[in-house]
Amino acid sequence: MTAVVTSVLGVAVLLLVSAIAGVPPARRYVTKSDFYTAARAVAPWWNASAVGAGFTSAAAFLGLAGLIAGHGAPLLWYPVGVVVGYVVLLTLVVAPLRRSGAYTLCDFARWRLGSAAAGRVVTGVVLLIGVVYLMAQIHAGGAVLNALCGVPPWAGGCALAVVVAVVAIAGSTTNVQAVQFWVMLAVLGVGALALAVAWLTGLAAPPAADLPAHFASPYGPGEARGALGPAAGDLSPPGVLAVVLASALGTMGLPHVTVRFYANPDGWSARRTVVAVLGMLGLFYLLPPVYGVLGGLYAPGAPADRMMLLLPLRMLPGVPGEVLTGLLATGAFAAFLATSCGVVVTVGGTISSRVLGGGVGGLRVTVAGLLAVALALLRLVPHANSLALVLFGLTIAAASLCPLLVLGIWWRGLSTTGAVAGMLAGGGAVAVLAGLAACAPEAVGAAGRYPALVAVPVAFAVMLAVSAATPRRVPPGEAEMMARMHLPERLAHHLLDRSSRGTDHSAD
Amino acid sequence: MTARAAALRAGEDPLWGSVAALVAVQRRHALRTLAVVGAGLGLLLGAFALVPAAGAAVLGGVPFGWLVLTAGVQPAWLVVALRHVRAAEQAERDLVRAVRRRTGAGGSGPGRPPGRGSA
Repeated sequence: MTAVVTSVLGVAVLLLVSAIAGVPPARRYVTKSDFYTAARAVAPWWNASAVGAGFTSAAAFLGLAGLIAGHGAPLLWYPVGVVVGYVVLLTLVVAPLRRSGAYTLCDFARWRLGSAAAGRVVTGVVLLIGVVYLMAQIHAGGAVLNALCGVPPWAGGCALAVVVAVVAIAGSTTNVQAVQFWVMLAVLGVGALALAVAWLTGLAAPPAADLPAHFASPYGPGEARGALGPAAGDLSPPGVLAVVLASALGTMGLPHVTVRFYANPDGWSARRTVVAVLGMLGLFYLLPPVYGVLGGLYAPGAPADRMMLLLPLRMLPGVPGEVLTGLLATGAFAAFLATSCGVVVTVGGTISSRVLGGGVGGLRVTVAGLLAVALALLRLVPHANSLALVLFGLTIAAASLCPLLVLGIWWRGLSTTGAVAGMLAGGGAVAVLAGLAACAPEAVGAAGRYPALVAVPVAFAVMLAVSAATPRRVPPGEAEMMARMHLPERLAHHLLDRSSRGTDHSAD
Repeated sequence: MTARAAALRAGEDPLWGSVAALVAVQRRHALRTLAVVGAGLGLLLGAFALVPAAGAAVLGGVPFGWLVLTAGVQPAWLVVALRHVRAAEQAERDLVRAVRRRTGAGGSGPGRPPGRGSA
C-alpha cells in the first residue's frame, strides 16, 4: 500500500514538474517545428538530457536490470553496444544530418533522393520501428503497474496508453524530456545507492541465493528461446555480436532520437550534444548492473520486467522497502513517459504530415491510432520481454535506415533506386528472418537467431550494387547537397547564398 | 536556385574541389575513429570469447569482465568521441580559413569561435 501511495505521489510531482518545465515562454506551437522541439537553440547538454530521456527507455532499463539479474555479465554487452551507437552517430551522421536542414528521417530521404516514393518507404520503416518501440514501452509499463497494484498487464497497458496520448498531445517539449531524464537518473541513482548501502552494511534481509557461478562470465549459453528479437535469449559470442551490431548501427535510425538534433542551432552543437549524451549514458548505465547483481542475490527467477520493483520489498521488508519500490516505480514511469511521448509525437508527426496533411488534429488521430496498434500487436505477437522488442526495433533500423544515412551522407553515387532497394532488402530480411525464427526455427537455423548479422550486410550490399547499376537514378544536384551537409553553416550560407537555418524542408 | 548552386550542380564550380577535399578529410577522421572503436570492441569480444577465464578473473573483489564492461569502456568511448569532435571542428576551421583567404567569403569567422565547448 505504501508503495502505491509513494509512486502516486512521485508521479504527481513528476507530472507537475514536467508541466511547469513544459510551459512555453510565449506562444504555443504554431508550426510543426515548434511542436517537435518547442524551442530551437537550446544548450548542447540540455538537449543531450532530452536525447537521453528518449533513449534510456523504461523498457531498456527495467528489462536490462532484470535480465542481468537472471543471466549476469553477458547482458552488460547491451549498454556497450548502445554507447558505441552514439559514437557511430557522432562520427558519421549527426552534423551532416543537422546541416541538411531536414528534421525527420523521412524529410531527409525526400531531400537527399529527391523522391516522394523513397520518403514513403522511410515513413513505413519509421512507423514499424515506432510501433515496436511503443510495444516495448507499454509492455514494461504494464509490468510495473502489475507488480505495483496487481492490475492485469493489458489493462495497465491501456491505462498507460491513455496517459501517453494525453501528455503527448498536450505538447512534448525538450524541457519536459530533459527534466524527466534528470528525475529518472536521480530516482534510480538514489534507489541503487540505498539498496547497495543496505546490502553492504547488513541492514538488508539475508540474500535468497548466492550468485550463480556463470554470473561472472561475459558469455552464456547459445540457446534460442523463440523470442521475438535478435538473440534475446542467446548469449553466445555470435548472439552478443548481433546485439552489439544492431545497437551500434541502429541507434542512428531511431526516429525519436534523430529528430532531437533539430533543437541544436548548428552542426557543431549537434556534435557536442552527442558527446554529452555519451557522458550521460556512461553514468546512467552504471546503474542497471547494481540492480542486476542485487536482483541475482535477492530475486532470482523473477520475471525480467518486474524484478526491479520486487527487489526493495525482498531486501527491506516493510515500509522502507515499500517506499523504495514506489520511488523506483516513479523513475520507471518517468522513463516510460519520456520515451513513449517522444516516439508517438515524432512518428505520429511524420505519418500525419504525410498522410493527413499535417495539422494538430491529424496528429491527434495518428497518435491515438499508433497507441491502439501497439496495444493490439502486444496482444497478438508473442514476445519474451521488453528488451527483446527494443532490440528488434534497433535491428530493423540498422538494416534499413543506417545504410540510407551513411551512404546518403558520404557517397555521391547513391541512387534513388539503390536506396529504396537496399532499405526494402534489409528491412525485409529482418522481417522474414524474425517471422521464420518464430514459426519454423529449424528452417532458418543460425540466421534466424542473429538477423542483424545477415540483414545489415545485405542492405549495404544491395544499396551499393543497385546504385552502381543505376547511375542515371542518382538524384540531380548531389554536389550541392554534399556541400550543404559538410560545409560549416556560415560558409555554406555565404557560398551557396542561402541561409542554412532557414532551410526547412519539412514545410513542403 | 542561385548561380553558385547551379554551377555546383553542374560540377563547374571551383568550390567543389574544396567541398570534396573537406568530405575526404572528414571521412578519414570518421573512419579512423570508427577503426579505433571497432578494434577496441573486437578485442573485447574476441578476448572474452577466446579466453573465458579472463572475464571471470577477480580483480579487487569484482570480476574483471564486469569491471571492464561497466566502468572501463564508457570513458574510453568518451575520450575517442572528444578527440573526434576536435579533429572534425579543426578540419572545418581550416577550410573556412582557406576559403576566406582565397575569396574573402566566410564573413567574420567560422561557424563559431573556437573554444572549449560545454560538452
